[in-house]
Amino acid sequence: MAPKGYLAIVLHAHLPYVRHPEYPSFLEEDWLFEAITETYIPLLHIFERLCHDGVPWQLTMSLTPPLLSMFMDPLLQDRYINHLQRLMDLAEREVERTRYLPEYHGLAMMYRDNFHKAYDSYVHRYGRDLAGAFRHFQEEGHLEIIASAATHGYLPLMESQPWAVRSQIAIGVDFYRSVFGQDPIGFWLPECGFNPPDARFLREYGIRYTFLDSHGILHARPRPKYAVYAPLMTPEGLAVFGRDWESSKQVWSADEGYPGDYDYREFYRDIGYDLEYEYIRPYLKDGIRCNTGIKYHRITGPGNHKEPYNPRRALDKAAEHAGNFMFNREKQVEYLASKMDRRPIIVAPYDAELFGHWWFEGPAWLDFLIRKIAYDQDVIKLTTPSRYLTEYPRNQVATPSMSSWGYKGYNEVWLEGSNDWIYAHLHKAAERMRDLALSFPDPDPLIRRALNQAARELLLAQSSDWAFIMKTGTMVSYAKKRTTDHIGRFNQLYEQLQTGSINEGWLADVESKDNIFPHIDYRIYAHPLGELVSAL
Amino acid sequence: MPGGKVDIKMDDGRAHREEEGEILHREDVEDRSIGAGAEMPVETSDARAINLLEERFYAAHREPDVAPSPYELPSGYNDTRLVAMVRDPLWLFAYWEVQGDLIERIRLEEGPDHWDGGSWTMRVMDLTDQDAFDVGIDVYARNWYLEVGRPGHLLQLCLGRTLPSGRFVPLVYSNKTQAPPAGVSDLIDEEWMVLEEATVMAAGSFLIGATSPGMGRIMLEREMASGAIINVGSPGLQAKVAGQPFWLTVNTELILYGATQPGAQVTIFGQPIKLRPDGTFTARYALPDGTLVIPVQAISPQGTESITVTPVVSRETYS
Repeated sequence: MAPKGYLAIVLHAHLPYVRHPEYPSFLEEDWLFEAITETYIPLLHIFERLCHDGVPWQLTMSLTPPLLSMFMDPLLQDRYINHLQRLMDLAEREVERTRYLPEYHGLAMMYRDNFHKAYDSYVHRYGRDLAGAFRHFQEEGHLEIIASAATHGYLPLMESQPWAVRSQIAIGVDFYRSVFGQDPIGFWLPECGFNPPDARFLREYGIRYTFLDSHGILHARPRPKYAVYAPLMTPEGLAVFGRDWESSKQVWSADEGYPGDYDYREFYRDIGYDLEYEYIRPYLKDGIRCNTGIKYHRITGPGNHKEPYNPRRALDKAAEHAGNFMFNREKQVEYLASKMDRRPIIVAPYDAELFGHWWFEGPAWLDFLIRKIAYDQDVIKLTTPSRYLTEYPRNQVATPSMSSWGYKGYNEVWLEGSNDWIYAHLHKAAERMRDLALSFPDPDPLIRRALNQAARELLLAQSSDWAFIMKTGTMVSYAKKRTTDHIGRFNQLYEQLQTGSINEGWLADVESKDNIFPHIDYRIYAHPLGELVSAL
Repeated sequence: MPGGKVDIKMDDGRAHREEEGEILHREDVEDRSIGAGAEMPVETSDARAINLLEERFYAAHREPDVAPSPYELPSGYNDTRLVAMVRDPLWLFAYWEVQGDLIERIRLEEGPDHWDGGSWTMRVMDLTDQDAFDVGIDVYARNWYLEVGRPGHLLQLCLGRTLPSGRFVPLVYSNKTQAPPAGVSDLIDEEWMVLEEATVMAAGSFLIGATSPGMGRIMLEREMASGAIINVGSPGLQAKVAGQPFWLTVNTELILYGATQPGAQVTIFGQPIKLRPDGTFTARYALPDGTLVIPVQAISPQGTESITVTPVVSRETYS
């Protein structure tokens, strides 16, 4: 039976580029390692099982260039394997330690099993190539992988420098092609940060669609006929899909959302903090307590008392929540379909790292949801934006509003007292980068290396993550250091290029540290605002 | 601070929306789904929730001991500039730098006594309404959050000094920026576009490299004065009226011309331009919305002297 409407689930996978070869180990690299074990590999396992069982499924996923670059970096691959081996070792000791603690013993075995499966997949089945593992599902026609900006730069705050926006988009698209061997159709705007003039750059690079937060669509001019339940076309011809508020809230909301259920695993009770120091110390970095990923308790309730985690009960709850989510989407689609001349599309974007890392049962919930949608009803069907646009190529034209999915819906998260000082430096660097690119159209190899490195430093400094972390108030010193390091390196390169005295040893050192985009061509910044039409 | 006029406008806006809400209840179908959307508060609890969850990603990690950066950022870049950034529909953030000798020069021109009796002022210019209001600031603060209260309007800032006579002496102008609208649009005309039309439009008339050039190719394509490139106008503006096959496309181009000593080398945007035998040159550029800074450099035939002239051209479009 034909469905009455569609659901497009979009997973946005991103982590900032963190790689410190200058240290034997580095705490912030754990962000990546935890997300691989807890999110990316569990998602891949679910995709594999869905294919194995012949379940029809469609998902959209962004994998940002910094994340893909870390996936592909040999140093980080080695360090991840090392990290996982230590976890396997710890889990082994935990199985031993909990032998006479029945409520924990099964959990210890569960973690041991999870880590072994992750290791087996990562090393033997994927050959360390997570990008390739995701690409496989795109080639199978299930997963639509979309591009994103080069380093998750927050584009609305680059408004006064269109060449900086354009370069973030151009480099992101170019990188996508190099990894996935095809042109991207969709694009994830970092933080859903949309500034209307940027649509022209997305179109310039062949992008057909992107996503905005609800009010970006609702406040479009003219007014959108179908609210967020059908895409709009910008005057440039970019299709824009709006985030559905109801389905977002059910998953995202810290208070009413599913992840806060008392049967789900408690994130904050980690054995890295709970167990005796001398026992756990070999598994901590620098001997300071931190999360290991082994957690034995369920959320239980609002207080500090925590009961042991019961995986069976948690899985039942994930199935129940998946059923509830599907039921709500069915009702929503039935209502909308009766009001529209076409099938509505409900767009539900989430940070991928929510699934598994923070919400331990999230991947299982997704698995249940996909299977239930396939077999338990026929009102809604999973789709991707490009499939929807193929079915409905004719859409209303309107200019969406500047918007983001950050707190309050605009730019304030990335522009407030804690982080506004960075923009004078970021803007100056972007201006200088353009000047450099215009003044060195055809440099010798050493100068070229310095110019390319300057572009890398600018891009790394532009990651929205640093401003975000400064605002949240934890890990602030690291975010400040990263901003200062990249701008500082950029400024040194600028001076060296101005004076014509490149310090090659220092340059090589910086290249080895900030090694993202090995094939970057700084001349992308040479783009003057006005295109040369012709010499008369 | 915005004047009374702004407050009235905002009241108007709210009244308008409520009124529309009533219409939506009476009207049928499709618009109702918009009505449902329009009632959604923008400051949704889920927006807050997202940040909570994202914050947890980092908050769950302990604050490490970070070695201090070996670099120190300069306190300024010896520039004179003013940058306006949108924070939200009602507020702008501005940061600036003004070279001390520039201030001193203007101070002497204006007469120190007169000057010293004045006060620093940020002039907020509403280019949509063609009016302006002033905010007193401290020039040495170097940045300021401005409650502008002009959602949906095109805005520009000017930093200057208001003299005791009441005259405003401008020091530096900002970029122009458009504040986002604060609510649902009152424009309800509909226009529909088929995706393929969009593709043809992008490929044919307004964008370079609609076939998605790689980075390396862009430079090459730009330099080819081929037919494909002649089609590259500035991003055209299309205004269509609903339901009628009537349309309008507007593009602008810039012609830049000049002359120098025959045999000299001239570059525009760093790219060499061919001189005519008499030393004159002409080049034609697309002119999109925005400010275009065009460095034109001439190097003498002997390569010993250089002169740079930098016209700044700015285009804005209303529709």
